[in-house]
Amino acid sequence: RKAKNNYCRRTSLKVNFKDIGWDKWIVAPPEYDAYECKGVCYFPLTDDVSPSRHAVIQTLVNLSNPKKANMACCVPTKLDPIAVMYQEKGVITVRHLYEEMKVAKCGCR
Amino acid sequence: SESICELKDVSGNSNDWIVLREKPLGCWTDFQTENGTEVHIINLEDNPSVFTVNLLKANKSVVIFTSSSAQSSHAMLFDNPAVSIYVTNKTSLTFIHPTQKPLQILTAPPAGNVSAVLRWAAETFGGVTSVTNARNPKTITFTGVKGSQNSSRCELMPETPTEKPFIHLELNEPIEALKSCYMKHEGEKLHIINIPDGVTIRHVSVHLLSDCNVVLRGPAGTHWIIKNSLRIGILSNNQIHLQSFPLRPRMAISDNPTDIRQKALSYFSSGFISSYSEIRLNVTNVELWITDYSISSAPTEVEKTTPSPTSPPFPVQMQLFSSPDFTTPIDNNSRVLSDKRVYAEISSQTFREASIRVSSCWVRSTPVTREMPFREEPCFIKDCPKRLSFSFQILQDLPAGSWDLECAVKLCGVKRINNEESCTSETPVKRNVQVKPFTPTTNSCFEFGLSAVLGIAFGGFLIGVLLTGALWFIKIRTGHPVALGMRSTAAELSVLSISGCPCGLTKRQPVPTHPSPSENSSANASIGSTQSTPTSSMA
Repeated sequence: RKAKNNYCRRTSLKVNFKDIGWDKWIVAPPEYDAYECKGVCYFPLTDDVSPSRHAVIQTLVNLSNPKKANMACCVPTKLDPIAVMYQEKGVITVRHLYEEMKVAKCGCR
Repeated sequence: SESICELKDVSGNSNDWIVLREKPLGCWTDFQTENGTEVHIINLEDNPSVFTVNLLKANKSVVIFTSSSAQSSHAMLFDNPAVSIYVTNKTSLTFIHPTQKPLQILTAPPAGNVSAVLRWAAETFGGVTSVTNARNPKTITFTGVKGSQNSSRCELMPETPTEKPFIHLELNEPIEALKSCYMKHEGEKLHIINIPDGVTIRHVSVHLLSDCNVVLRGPAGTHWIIKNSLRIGILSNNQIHLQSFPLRPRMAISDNPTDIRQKALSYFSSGFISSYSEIRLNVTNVELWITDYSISSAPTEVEKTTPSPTSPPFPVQMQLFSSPDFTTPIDNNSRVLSDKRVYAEISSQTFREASIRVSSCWVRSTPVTREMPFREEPCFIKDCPKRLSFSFQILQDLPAGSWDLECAVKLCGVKRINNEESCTSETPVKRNVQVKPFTPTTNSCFEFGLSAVLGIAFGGFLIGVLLTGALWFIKIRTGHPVALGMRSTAAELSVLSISGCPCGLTKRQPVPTHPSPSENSSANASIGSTQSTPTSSMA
């Protein structure tokens, strides 16, 4: 029962650039939702978590002998860009596609 | 729930059978204040966190930014001293200049919605030039172009913002706003549009471009307007206006694809569904075009096919000609001199209505590949194939040989569904040519042009006529021909022939050493004298 509540999924992760010292060069936005992947890849792996064949095999091995293999990992399977305004040598520029900044999908790998 | 077919995201909200366009509320007029200032309102929707506003080319104007969203945004501003910028009080929008210089941003009173801002602006400035909805913009650019509009009062109506000449919007594409799939089959077509519950669309204008049955399913309160009067069958759970004729909802239909499928097939007594589309765009007004994929223009259809490595994805032929009137074909075994121009006709028998575009040509004979410059030749016949001409001068420094002449071509046509041009991907079209380098001879032959040849021929003819006249005159005066005179004339004329030329351009006429039997006739003599000229034999 607990497993169902803790299944691999995407959750919110608000990031303030000031907290990580990136505010020195990222002018805007000051913060954004980067999302993160949380949870456990319990057996059986469903289509929602788009498991790789290897993840399915690892999960089955773990099910039969937990000491032999770990469970598959809940990780980002698709990342999206965000638009940022950054400064370089005193000039501010807009970059519309700053790649791999937020999680779009999570899955078991 | 299970879908009717494998839904795929429609990139750019447009494909071969369905086109979806937002129709946000907006307006534009020819209003200017007494001192020539324009008044523009930008309504930001679905605010992005960062975007760009470019006012560098803007006319003298007031630009008011408003948004009903609480999300904060930052805009890079390329400002213009002729433009005053207002932001409504509750709009969380911060402008930043590229050099971080301070900017003067004025505050407009808070407004609940764009209509209230429009009223405030009309009262404050005496009128409004435009109201434009910008949903999730990347850049908003004022072009400085003056729009010409008869209306002087800005009344909000569903519009297409791209039609405004004075503003250019670059918007972030909505993600997964339209998903669709198509299943080709014979017989009557059945298209299903499903706007799931929870989507905010309320008004949909539908253009059906071919006879078909349609299922229009939307959340309660959705209003569909069908713009054309083709032979169509309609099933909907919403209010529909067919042209201006109102139709009541037929039955309740949930947004579950299985429920829709079952009711659609049962209602139309049909065995097939042609297309199924889901719209998840959170705007109020949209416009939709649906057509039968199988009658879309051919190039778009072939664009979808996967080309095999050995055959081009569409059949295109290239025929070569040696003359600019495209009447003398060059067969595969013929040799082409590198100094001669070759004319090529590229055509597609299958897709005659499509236009052919040639991007580049090259010649290849392993391991050498050279770019082949080409010239497009004019063509005035109906459904003309593509006509080009080439010169093989670029191979002048190489020995004679077999070359593959290749051109990268694509077929372009206009989609029936939205009149947008669509092209196939490029494919090569190839012909083999035997090229022989031109080797100029070292002897000093005269090079006669056409005008020189004609001039000499005419001169020879004139001399012949004069000679005949002279002989005729002598005959009349003396009563007998002058054989000696004729002989001397022939000798003089033979000087005109080109001596010592090995090119064989002319046949030399030997000077007769004794009178021929025919010299007794003045008429024959005159003919003979004409034949003695080198030009006459050429002519």
